[in-house]
Amino acid sequence: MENEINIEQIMEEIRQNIKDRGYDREPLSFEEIELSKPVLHGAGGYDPEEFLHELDYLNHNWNNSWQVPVNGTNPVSVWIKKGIRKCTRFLLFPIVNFQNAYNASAIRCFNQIKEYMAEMEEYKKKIEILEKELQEMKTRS
Amino acid sequence: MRIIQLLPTLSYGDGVGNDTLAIDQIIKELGYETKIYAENIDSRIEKGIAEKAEKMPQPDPNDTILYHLSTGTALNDKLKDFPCKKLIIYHNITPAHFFKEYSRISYDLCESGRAAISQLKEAADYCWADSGYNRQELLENGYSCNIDVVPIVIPFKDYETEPDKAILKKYRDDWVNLVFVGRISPNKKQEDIIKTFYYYKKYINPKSRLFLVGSYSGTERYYERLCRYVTELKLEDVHITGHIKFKEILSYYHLADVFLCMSEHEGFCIPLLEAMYFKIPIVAYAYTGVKETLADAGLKFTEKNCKVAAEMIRMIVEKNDLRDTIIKTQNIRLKDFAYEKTKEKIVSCLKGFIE
Repeated sequence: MENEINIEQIMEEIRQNIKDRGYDREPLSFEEIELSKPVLHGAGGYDPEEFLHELDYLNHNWNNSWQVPVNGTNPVSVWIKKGIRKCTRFLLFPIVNFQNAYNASAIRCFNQIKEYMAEMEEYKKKIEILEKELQEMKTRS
Repeated sequence: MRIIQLLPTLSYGDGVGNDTLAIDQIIKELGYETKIYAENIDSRIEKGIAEKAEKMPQPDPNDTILYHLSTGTALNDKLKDFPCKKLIIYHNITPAHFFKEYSRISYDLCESGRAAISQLKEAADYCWADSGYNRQELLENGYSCNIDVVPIVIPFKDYETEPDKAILKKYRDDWVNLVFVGRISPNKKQEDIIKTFYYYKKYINPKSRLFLVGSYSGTERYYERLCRYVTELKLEDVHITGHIKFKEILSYYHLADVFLCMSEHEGFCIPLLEAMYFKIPIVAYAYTGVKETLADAGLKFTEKNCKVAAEMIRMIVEKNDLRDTIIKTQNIRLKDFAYEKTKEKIVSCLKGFIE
């Protein structure tokens, strides 16, 4: 029939072509490509090291200054930029203060979570010891 | 008596979203009172068409809920408590293991969604499945109610929109353009498409490009891994578009010489029908829903082999008679999904259930 594809014939031709073409080295497989570290929290599962690393960063970087340093080689442009910074103080100061207060509160929460997790780890260890003792008692009796 | 469509997310332009809107239109034409409720509504959806699920009034026993089951959501737990007739439209849910390495959020959503499939079997009074493959999954999960295969409504008229001219101008030349359209997602195995393109470009035709057209929102780690794979293979002319406008997607269809699908999980795979509409010959790994959507159309293989796929592409590009025959098979298959045919099926199934 006109609309039928002879798949057997096609596959035979393909097998022959693959032989003739001499595909030499197999390319790198996708599995050999390492996965990147998760960017989003929880994207790759809980990682205690990463959690402590990020918490440490937060504890040392929560407090920002409204006064962004002004640098430059041209003294006139530096003077102008400092002037603009002074003029916008009334806007920036309250915003940055509010953000810092928010940051402080959030980090206090995270630090509390860290303490809670440490307590849970202790409980977990105690449970494991008790389960082991219970198993031993069951075996003896 | 109201017919309420309920779903987790009403997105703009995706299969479930289009299906919901099309069914809404059909129900209105039948003269029934109807409304769409969703937990999340895309801001591009015209105002007034849908409302937030939290605003849904408690259904009457005389009402009917059409529930789109497509992911894990709290709605899955609430459905059984509604005191009315419930029709579950099963769009399939990607098995969670595909996301294990890449996204805990996606993994958890798929895991809970897949668990909900069997949990909802007692709640369903009737089911629609997009495909026989989806229907079979419901049966395997213990569904004893009637299940009809009702294809997703495809808005073929939308494809007549003018494509983006700048993209056409940039890539319309004597090079061979391979295309796959679909979210950048681990179940769609874009790495196997890249590997096939590697064989095709290095061993058969250096004047070729690969376009992977689809968003990688939510699968960024998989996307990054694909990009590094392309770099490590020292492969040029691979373009991963990310989220682009509809008319830009159309441009890639207009440019395509071959549509290549290596997916390992699909419930239906709408882009296959889109490729058929644009008369692009399809080379595909015939697995899960892809096998049924294609039926006798396209050029398929059942054992995944990227070299075989590359050689199939070569044959289609070089042999006009084979190419024409493939397109003929696709034209025949596409008729099974014509809007009027699908609409007729929806009307008859819906009337049979509610009347």
